[in-house]
Formats: sequence, structure tokens, C-alpha cells
Amino acid sequence: MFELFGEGLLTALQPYTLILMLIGTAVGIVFGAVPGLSTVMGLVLGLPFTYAMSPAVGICFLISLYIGGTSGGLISAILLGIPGTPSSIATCFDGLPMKNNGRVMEALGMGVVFSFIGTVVSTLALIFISPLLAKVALQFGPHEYFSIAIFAIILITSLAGSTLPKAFFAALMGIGFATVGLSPTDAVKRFTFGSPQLVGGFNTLTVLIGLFAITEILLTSETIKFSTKQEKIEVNMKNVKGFGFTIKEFLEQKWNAAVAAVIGIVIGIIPGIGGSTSNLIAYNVIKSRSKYPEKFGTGIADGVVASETSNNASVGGAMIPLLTLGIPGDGATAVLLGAFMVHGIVPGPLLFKNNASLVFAIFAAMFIGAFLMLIVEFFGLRIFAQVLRVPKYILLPIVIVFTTVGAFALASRTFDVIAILVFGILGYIFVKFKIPQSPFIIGFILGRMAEENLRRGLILSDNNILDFFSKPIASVFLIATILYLGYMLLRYSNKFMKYRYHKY
Amino acid sequence: MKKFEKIFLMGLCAATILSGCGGKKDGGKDAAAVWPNKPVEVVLHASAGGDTDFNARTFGEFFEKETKKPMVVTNMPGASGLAATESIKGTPANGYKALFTHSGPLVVNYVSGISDYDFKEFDVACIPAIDGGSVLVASKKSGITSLKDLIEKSQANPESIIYGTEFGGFSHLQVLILQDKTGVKLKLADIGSTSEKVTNLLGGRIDVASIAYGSIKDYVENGDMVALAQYNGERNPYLGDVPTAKESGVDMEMNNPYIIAFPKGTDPVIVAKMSEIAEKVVGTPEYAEKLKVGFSQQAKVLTTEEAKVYLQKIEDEYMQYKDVLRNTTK
Amino acid sequence: MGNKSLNWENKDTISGIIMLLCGLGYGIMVLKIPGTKSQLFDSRFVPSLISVLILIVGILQTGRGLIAPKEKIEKKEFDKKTVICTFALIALYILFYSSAGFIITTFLFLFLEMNILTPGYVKKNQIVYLVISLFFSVGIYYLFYFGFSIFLPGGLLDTFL
Repeated sequence: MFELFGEGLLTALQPYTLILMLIGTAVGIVFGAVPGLSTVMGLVLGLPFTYAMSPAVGICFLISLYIGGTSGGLISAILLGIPGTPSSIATCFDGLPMKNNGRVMEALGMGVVFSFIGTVVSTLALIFISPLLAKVALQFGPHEYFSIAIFAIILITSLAGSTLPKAFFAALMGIGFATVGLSPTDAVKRFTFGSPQLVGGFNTLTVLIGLFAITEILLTSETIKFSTKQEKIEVNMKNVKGFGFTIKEFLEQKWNAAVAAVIGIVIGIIPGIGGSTSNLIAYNVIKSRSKYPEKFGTGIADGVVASETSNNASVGGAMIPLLTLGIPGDGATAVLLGAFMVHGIVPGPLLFKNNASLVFAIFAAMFIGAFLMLIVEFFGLRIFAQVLRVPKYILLPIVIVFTTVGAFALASRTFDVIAILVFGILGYIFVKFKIPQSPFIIGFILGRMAEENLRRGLILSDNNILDFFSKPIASVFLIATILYLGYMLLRYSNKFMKYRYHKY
Repeated sequence: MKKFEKIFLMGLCAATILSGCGGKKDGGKDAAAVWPNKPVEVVLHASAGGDTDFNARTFGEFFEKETKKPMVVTNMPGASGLAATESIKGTPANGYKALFTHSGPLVVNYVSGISDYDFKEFDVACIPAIDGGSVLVASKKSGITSLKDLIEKSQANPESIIYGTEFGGFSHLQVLILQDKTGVKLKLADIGSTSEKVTNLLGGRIDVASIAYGSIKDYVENGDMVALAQYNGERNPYLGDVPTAKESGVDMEMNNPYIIAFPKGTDPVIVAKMSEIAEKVVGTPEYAEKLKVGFSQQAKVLTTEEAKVYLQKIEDEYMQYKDVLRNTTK
Repeated sequence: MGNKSLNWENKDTISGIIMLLCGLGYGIMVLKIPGTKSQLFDSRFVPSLISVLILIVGILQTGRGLIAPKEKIEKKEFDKKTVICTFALIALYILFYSSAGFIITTFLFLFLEMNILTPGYVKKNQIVYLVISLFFSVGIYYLFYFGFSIFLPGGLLDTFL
């Protein structure tokens, strides 16, 4: 066994592989950082290059791209308030305020280091307990998916930090937009108005771009002409050593990181959901557990840590079902699966037996990729912060251009580019009326999953809805949802009563 | 006045002659003769990483070797294939943008009603490969050991065995035909695509499904799943020891041809050229090797007329199941 | 007791009314979805549920807004003109993206938008804007063409590219 481990390690450590991985990491970070371009897109574009490489090298390259891309999103989330990828949505919530408070290096540093930690912890899980964890993936059938989707939506909606009606409105609108297209199971055309483009529905990336990027430029245009002097965000470089925060601050985050990592790993393991969901869930769970939940959103490190640890933990998490069962844990690992199959290797239970050196090479690549990401971003930190020097009136239009390219690149259609305009208008209205965005996004991402699995579960259960409660995992989540919802509604009506009667 | 009229008339004649001379730059005989003289784009209904994408890219690699012009792959997934077909339907028929898909979007979608049109809406060039890798598998928990066993068990207890599929899709049609040919009734559940089928088989929530061999090879080997049958007429040598449906007494043959199709109205010369290139590519041993290693596919090709005949044949066969396919949930 | 009249100008009220309109709009569109007679949980189920819930939420929100005491709204500094110009420019950019082509629309968008957004105290350097606009519009087009084989719309320049 040790020889195979050594063999795998050697493959990964060869200069050729290392250089490719460095390139992969850098490319991944760029794709992650630029709003509009995403990790999955980077992987899809990189995939054809790997056909000519040997399987181990090709896959190592893609892994480094995956890790770089997942963490790269934090850069634009913090610097611009626009998530670079769906995995860094929650990073904006506290990352941007931290930048505005002059703590940009700390935010970036925390994000990078905890992305690293998330990757490493999940890789350890992958290496040592993946067979056990894979069994978790197998427990999830339609009933369970429905329950967890509903639970996540309700959780995030109630913690959105806004009044319940608004938060629920956002979530419902998100689910509503997700229903546009072909309905699950019986492929009925819904809300398509005879347009073949709408039959395909909307894409998460276009929602993201519209909701954040377009909204951001519109918000900026409200006041930019009034600025009287270059309001340079003081990038306080003098006292910044290393990653921009102290060991004490680092240790303060250890429980947040632990919880976020676990959430990230579990969500990564469940096939079909990954970093884009885990960052929002981890953020909200940690917020609810926190001693100072009201500070979330004002610019505290906890928010950034929660989001970035979990999204990178989902990387390792998603690799678990991929390698042990041959089932991709999220969109990015689906592309990795393609890379395997092209070389005639099918990941699955026998992968370890038949291809042990490849498996070890992959383990090594995960660690190496994490380190490369850390190193590249460490040196890049100071450079990234310089982006803030570019005046907004030049930077933002360029960002918008990239987002349209990203939208177009999804499927080479201008429909997706028009979609970002639609969601941009929506996003702007939301901000004006203080309607929170995260319930909308989670409703959109998980809405289809919820409906699809509700219907599939009902088919399996012969339309008997009570059957959902006969399944242990499903009923746990459903009951938790009902209880949580009940608790929230009670609190809201209490608050509302006070509001009503004490004002007079 | 007379002078003016004369000059005007001459000018008119000259203009008419000149416009006749210029001719179409992009169409016409010259264009077809030099095709391809720039990259050819193929639009796929599938996303990167799957078997269609792999097939298209491999084909593209050898296309470039033959023609010295690259074949560029554009993935346009969505709406069960409609996104891609709609895109090609509306594109100018100049031979530089084609559809690379399989019978799912071009035949099955029409049968199931998702699409209002079939392959005849396009100028089919050829079938560059046929996927015969789909295998009927049962989970270990189901206790089913062979196709005959499946038939017996479900005759004893109709609708007790759960078959997981995607309603309206290729594997749904597969089971409808299977049920028809064997006279058995299975319980059909909409479960999703390959990943979901594998997870739910292993989790014991469904009993049988039709899945690409590559995806379940390991499970058959370690006993978590049993391969009941393959749907080819003759055994695909790359599928190991899986009996064909016919060997088990079921007269059924079904596989999934890949299709390269141009928008309607494309110059027949270009269409014929693509077909010839496909023949050459498929004849190349390296191409066959790549297909085998990648997705256990055998290299086969059908030229333009052969392809159209074949597609019509399978469409006619599938149309018998049109109503059942469309009404499963109603 | 405070004032008994309903507060129609409150932001909550307005948002509540918007919600009601959304719920109604969505609900009306739901009626167009073909239903399945025999089934409760068909393709109409979730959309119908959503529209009902949105209406409920809209009622709650409107109610909340209506009974709120009238407060003086401070007018925040709000440059309407720039916002509208920016929005219009983005809309035009996107709507002409395909017909006029990526390079032309991107060039125009970048150049004009940078001009629109430049704060008053900055002296506009049109040369810089020109160079940036040209660099990114042409640069991105060819980066994606040669680097990724993604063909952005050529539009009017199709014959030259």
C-alpha cells in the first residue's frame, strides 16, 4: 500500500504536474474572481485540454482549478460586493462591510486562510472516512431531498434579518422564477409564453449576475457623481503582516470554522448540492448560533469565515461520492467525472482496488492544490487590494462587460444576457424596498429540487404524502422545518402585536 | 430628353448584368466546393463531460485531421434538448453550424410531445456513432437475477418491481417497449438521470433501471448490482458478459444513434461531404479505440440516406408508444 | 390613540402592493398551465401554492404598511438622472448585444458609461476612456475566440471577423 501511496505522490509532485497545477490554480482563481465567469465554466473550458494528458495529470490539473475557483469568488465578493461565483454569495454579506470599514486585508486574509482550512479538513475526511460518508449519500432519495430543500429554504428565509413577509416574498419569488420552463416529471411547459428560450428556464448564474452586479452598478450610479474627492478606501498596509489578522483572531474563529466545515462536507456529499448552497446555509447556521447575531452583515470576520470554510469544504465533500460511488456531488465534479470517463476510468467502489495510485495522486493533488491556492493568493492579496485603486467609474463598467460574456458563454445565447437585465431590475427593486436577496437565491436554487423531489417521492409513495414521515431522515428535516416555522411565525406575530399596540 | 433616357436605360442594363454576375458569396457552388474553409461549429444538447460531449469532441479531433479545419463544440444544454434544436433550427444554412445530438432530442422528444418537430425538420447528414452501451440492471436488494427472473416475478406480482427512469426520456421508452414485448407491468417511477438511478438502486428505493454500462461496471463486478440484459441485437463485445434481450427470449433491440444534422436548406453537396468525412473518421482505428476506451462504444457509421431510413424506422416503432409515453402521470 | 388614517405612502405599503400584484400576475399565468384532472400534485400544484402564499404575504405586508404611523421621509441624495442613464445604457447594450455585435456594443457601452459615471470633480480624459473601451471590447472578443473557442456575437462586423 505504501508503494502505491508513494507512486501517487510522485506523480503529483513531478515538475510537469506541479506547473500545470499552478496554472490550474491561477486560472481557477481568475475564473472564480471575475463575476460572470464561474468555476464550472473554467472546468468545462479546461476539460478538452486534459484529453491529451495522462489521466492522473489531467485530473490533478482540474482539481487545482476547482479549488482555486471555489476560493477565488471571495475576491470580488469582498472588493466589489459582487460574488465571483455562487459559492461566495454569503461572503459578500460581511466581506463588503469589512472592506468599507477599512478592514479589507483582514477580510481577504481570513477568506483565503479559511478556504484553505476548509479544503484541507474535507480532504482529510475524504481520505480517512469516505466509505462511511458515502453511505450518507446513499440514504438520500427523493423524500430526503425534498425535506432538506424545504428546510434549507425556510432556515435561510427566517434568518434573512428582515421582516418575515419580505423574506418570504423573496423566497417565493425565487421559487416562482425557478418554475419557469419544463415542469419536472411531466415536462409541461410553464410560463413560457410560446418562447423556446423560456422553455429552458433561467440559469443560476444569470440570477446572480443580475441580482448583484447590475444592482451594484445601479446603486453606485445613485451617488457617484456627488463624491467630492477620491474616497479611497484606506487600505491600511502598514500594520498588515502575513495574512492581515492575528493568531488570536484566528483562534476565535475555530468553532465557526469547525461547524462550517462540517456543513460544507455534508452538503458536498449530498449529490446535486454543493458550495453554492453550503455557503448560505453555513452563514445562517453560524449566525443563529452566535452570541451576537445582530452584528452579522455589519462586517465581522465570522461571516466571511462561515462562508469560505464551508464552500471549500464542499469541494472535498463533493469528491467523496465522486470517488467512492462514481456519482458527482455537484456541478463541478460532474465535469471531473467526464474527465475520468474519457480516459476509460470509471470512479466507483472498485476505483481504489483497480487504480490505487491514481486515487493517491488525487489525494495528494487536493493538498497540493490547497497549498498552491494559499500561496498564490497570499502573494496576490496585496495585488488584489490594489484593484480598489481603480476608480469605480472605470472598474464597474468593465465588470458588467465580463458578466455579459459569462452569461453568454453559458449556452451561447443572448437570452441569458437579457435575463441578467431582468434580474438586475428585480435586484434593484429588492434593494430599494429592503427585500433580502438570499432567500430569493436559495428559493431559486433549491425550489426546483424541492418540487421535483416532492413529485418523485409522491410517485414512489403512490401519492401518499404521509409516507414522507415514515422515512427517518426526511421526517427529521420536515419536523424541524415545521417546528422552526411555527416558532418564527409566533415570534413574528408577537413582534407585530407589540409594534401595533405600543405605537399608539 | 432622349439622351437622358438612353443613358438611364444603359445604366439599368449594366446594373442588371452586374448584379447577375456578382452571385452569392456565401452560398452557391463555390462555397460548397471549398467547404469547410473555416471552423465548423457543432451545437450539443448535452453539457461537457457526458457521452455526447465526448463523442462530439472525439469526432471533432478526427474531423480536423481529415479536413485541416477545426470542429468547435458548443454546449447548449437545457429543456431536454430543445435549447440546442431550437438554436440550429433558426440558424443560417451555410454549413458552418450543425447539430450534434442523439435520437433523444430528435426522435424521442417528438414522440413524447416535448418537441413539435423531429429529425425531418433538419438536413440530417449522417449517424457518426451508435451508443449500444445501455444495460438493464437490478439492485442486489431486489433479488432479481436475470431478465427471465424479472419477467416471472412481475407476472406473479404486477407493478411490484420499481423501474426508475426519467419520464419522457429514452430510458422511459425503453421500459415501455420492454413491457410491451414481455407482457409484464412494472411500477414506473420518475427518478432522474444516471446519478440518481445509481444512488436509488444502491439505496434500495428502486429495483431496476437502464443505465450506461460504463457507469455501473464496478457495481456489477462487486455484486451490488446484477446486469440483466443489453438492448443490442448482437452482443456488444465491450459490455462484458451481459446477455442480450433476445438471448433471454425477448424480441427487443434498441440503441441510441448519434446524429449530425444541418439546418434545413443546407447545400446537399456540403451534407454529402460531411457524410463522407464521417465514413473516413469511423474507419480510422484510433477513433474506434477512443470510443471503446471512453464509453464502451463500437464505431459504426450510417451515411445520409441510410441514416434517414434508420431514424424513420425507429421513429415509427416508437410512435406506437406515443400515448403511453405522454400519459404516464395522467 | 394616534392617527387613524391609512398610510399609503409608506414603503412597506408600496412593497406590499407590489407583492400583491406579483401574486396576482403569477396566479393568472398559473391558470394557463394545463392541469391533470386526476391528480392534486401535478404541474399546477406548486405554482398555485406559490401564488396563494405570495398573495397572503402581500396582504400582511400591505397591512403592516397601512397601519404604520406617518413619518417624515428624509430625502436621501439621489441622482435620478445618472441612474436612469445607466439603466438605459445597460438595457440598450444588452438588447443590441447580438444584432450590433459584441465589439461595437461593448465599445460604446464602456465609453459612454465611464463618461456617465465619472464624478464631477474628475477631469474626464477621453483618450483613456477610448483606449480602455477599445482594448476590452476587442481584447475580450479575441481572447474568447482564440482562447476558449467561444464565439461572441459578431453582429454588424460579422463579415470582417
